[in-house]
Amino acid sequence: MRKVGVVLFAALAVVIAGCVTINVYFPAAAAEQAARKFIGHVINAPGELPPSSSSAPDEPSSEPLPAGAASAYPPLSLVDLLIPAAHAAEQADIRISTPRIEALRARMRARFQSRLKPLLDSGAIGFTHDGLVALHDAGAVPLAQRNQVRQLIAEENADRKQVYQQVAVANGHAEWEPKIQATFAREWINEAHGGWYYQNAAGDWLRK
Amino acid sequence: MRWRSSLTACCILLVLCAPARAAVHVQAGLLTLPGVTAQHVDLRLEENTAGPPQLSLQIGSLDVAVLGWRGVGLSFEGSLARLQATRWQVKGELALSSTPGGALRQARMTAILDRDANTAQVVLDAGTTDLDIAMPLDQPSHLQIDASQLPLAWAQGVLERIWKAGKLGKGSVDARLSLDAGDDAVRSAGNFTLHSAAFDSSSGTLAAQALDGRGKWRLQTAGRRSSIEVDATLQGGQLLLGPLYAALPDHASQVHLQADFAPGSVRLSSVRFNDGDALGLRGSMAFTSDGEVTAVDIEAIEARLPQALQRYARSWLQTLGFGDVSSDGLLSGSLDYSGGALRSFRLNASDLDLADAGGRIAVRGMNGGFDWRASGSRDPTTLAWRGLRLWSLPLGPAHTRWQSRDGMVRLAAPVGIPLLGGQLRLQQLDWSPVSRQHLGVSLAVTGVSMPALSKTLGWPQFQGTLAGAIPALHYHGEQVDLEGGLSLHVFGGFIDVTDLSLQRPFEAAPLLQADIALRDLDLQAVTSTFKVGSMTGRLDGAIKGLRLLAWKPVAFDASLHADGGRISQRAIDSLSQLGGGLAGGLQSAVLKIFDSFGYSAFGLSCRLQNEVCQMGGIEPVDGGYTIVEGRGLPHIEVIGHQRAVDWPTLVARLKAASKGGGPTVH
Repeated sequence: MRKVGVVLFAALAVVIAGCVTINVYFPAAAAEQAARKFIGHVINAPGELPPSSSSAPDEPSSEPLPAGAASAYPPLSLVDLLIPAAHAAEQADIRISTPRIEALRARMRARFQSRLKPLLDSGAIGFTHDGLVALHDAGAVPLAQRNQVRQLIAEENADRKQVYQQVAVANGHAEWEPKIQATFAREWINEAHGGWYYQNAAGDWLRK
Repeated sequence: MRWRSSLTACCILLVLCAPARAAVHVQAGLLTLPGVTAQHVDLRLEENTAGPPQLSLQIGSLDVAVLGWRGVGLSFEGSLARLQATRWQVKGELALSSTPGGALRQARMTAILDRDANTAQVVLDAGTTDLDIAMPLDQPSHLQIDASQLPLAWAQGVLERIWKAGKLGKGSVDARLSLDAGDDAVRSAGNFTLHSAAFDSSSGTLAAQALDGRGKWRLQTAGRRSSIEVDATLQGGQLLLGPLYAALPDHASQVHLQADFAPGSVRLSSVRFNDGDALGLRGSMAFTSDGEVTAVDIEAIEARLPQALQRYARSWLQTLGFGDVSSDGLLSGSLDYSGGALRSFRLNASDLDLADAGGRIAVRGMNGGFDWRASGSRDPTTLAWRGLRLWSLPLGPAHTRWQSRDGMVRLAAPVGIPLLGGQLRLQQLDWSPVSRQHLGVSLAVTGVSMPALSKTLGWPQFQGTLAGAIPALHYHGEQVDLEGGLSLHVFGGFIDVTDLSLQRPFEAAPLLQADIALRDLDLQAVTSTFKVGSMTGRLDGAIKGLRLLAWKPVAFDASLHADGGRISQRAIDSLSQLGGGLAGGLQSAVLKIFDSFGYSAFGLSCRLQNEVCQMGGIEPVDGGYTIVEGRGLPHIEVIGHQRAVDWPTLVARLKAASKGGGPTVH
């Protein structure tokens, strides 16, 4: 009987321990969605919808606030413009809207629209399997511009790494960074336009 | 192997010397000569009643090491004629397949073999390309070659043997050369003329395009190491050597190059370049075979501006964000970079003028420079200029002295530089070109005219002067910290900025932090500067814990107060925009009769957090807080009702108020 008691106690302890260890699972689906929004905003020209997402169009909602309601109102951000409030609330498991991430995104978008897109279109650069950009065909870049392109790739990659890190930090899980990066890596390739180059897991270049 | 080679040679000779009466058919599975391997060889010699005997040679797979040929197919159909007792002529059509660059896909070949003279001469005519090859019969690996309009791509196999990542592109070459090829070693020397030549590398970092020029070379390879020495005169074309891009001038430039190729590395152990009117250079460079720079040692460089910048530094300046730079003068110096770090540099300017079209920097009449080394100390240098403009700040003429010691360039003596009617005094400046670009500055500013500064920076017209001391400013890669503070003597009072720091200055979202104190400002001057109506009195206050992210306020704790004076109708309008509406017993129609009102106290506070401003005033009252407490008659009281105000909305309203538009009194 006493033995049984010990066993029961042990079992209980295990159960309790099991309950106490709270595993915070990486919200893969939410991260995917957040990455897609972010990338769609960077890649697609104004008015152009991300090819594979069915999100709502831009909906400016920066009306002045009623008195007293201000403190309950979330920070105004580009993501809020993209994601209608109710929609965002349903799946707010991943936060990708901090001032720093937004500043990064605005800079990445400007760089993408003015400089990276033509290089992707010409096949000079492509998306890597780890969520960065890399030179694909140096021959497609005139000699005079090769160093600028190298510089551009370095700047873009520095910003991307910061985004992955900042998204992880903003969600209170710095250790999620590799998962965030892997999620973004898949989504960059998913959202890539036809004709752009990307790397498969083995590092081989393929054309979308 | 050796006996087989000689046997093969004998065999060929036997065949060639045999009287051409009957048919001869030789087949061999494998033939080897030094540096040459042939498989599936089929040679036929048949009598021909109508003319000379017919010679047919098919080789299924031919490897020629020196040419980098592997598995080349060869087919020859022609005739064999005896010219003299020991002189034979072979003439016919040669077709090769699977050669690098498609070399000799189709060519007319005439070969003359002279046993007495011990020579073989082969003339190949492949369209526009002519090749004349001569060799001793007993030493077929020693060749004299005369080539005209040889497509560069045909030499791809040769290049790959020396430099695996190299790719030859368009263009052609005329060359006269000797070639000694063994199994493992090749020696070659000769003259060349390039026509619009191009090469590239798999990483794209070492490349050339449209090179025209002539010169001579010597090449030696042994095993997997090769060295090549080139002396050339180039005319036009583009060249990319890692970070350096050169658009060569159309007139002649002299180049001397000694390049050593080893597995994994390319070393330009001696580079001399002179283009006559812009750049002279002597030094050495090293790259990985992918074209990543591993070492640069420029012993001496002399550049004449603006030509040198336009031809050789444009691409580099663009990577630094300086797309369009106008320049004049002379720059000379030296530089040593190796082992992943800068070891030393010397830079000397003579009558240098530089101006960036973006307006960030401009110098006029600069002379002198720096002499820095990572360790030890160097002789002091001077650096003087007639004018210097940083962003839009115009600095006057100055004469500075510098010295490098233990890896730091230091200002050797304090210097005063005229700035907008006042002076910028540099007490101390240490700068390290390595170790995350450390910069330490101690400076003081006196008597700088605020109207002139406001105009320069595009601010509203401030009156007064700027003075202050920053005993220590540290910049190290990610962060700029300021000890001490700036004191602005403006609006008849003082604005003190302390605990100023700037993080990530070059990233997307720099973070600026500071504490600001306002002391005894003349409210009339403040309100007229910002065009928000008019108030009189003295203003005190503080903005504590100010944080600007990407130059936009994200947090602060601000409070302003004044001890009485008069306030205008329009200033009340402006304040009412902040506090969420005007309260008091008076109707706006009545108010409008008066231009201004007396007040005994003004107070306003805003604590910004999460884009929401928590407002406050002099004291809380029922349902709000007092912003302005009136005095005398008509007695007014401005009461704010909104405790929490959305910051972007507030900023928008303030902007509208200062523009003098829209707000109305209800």
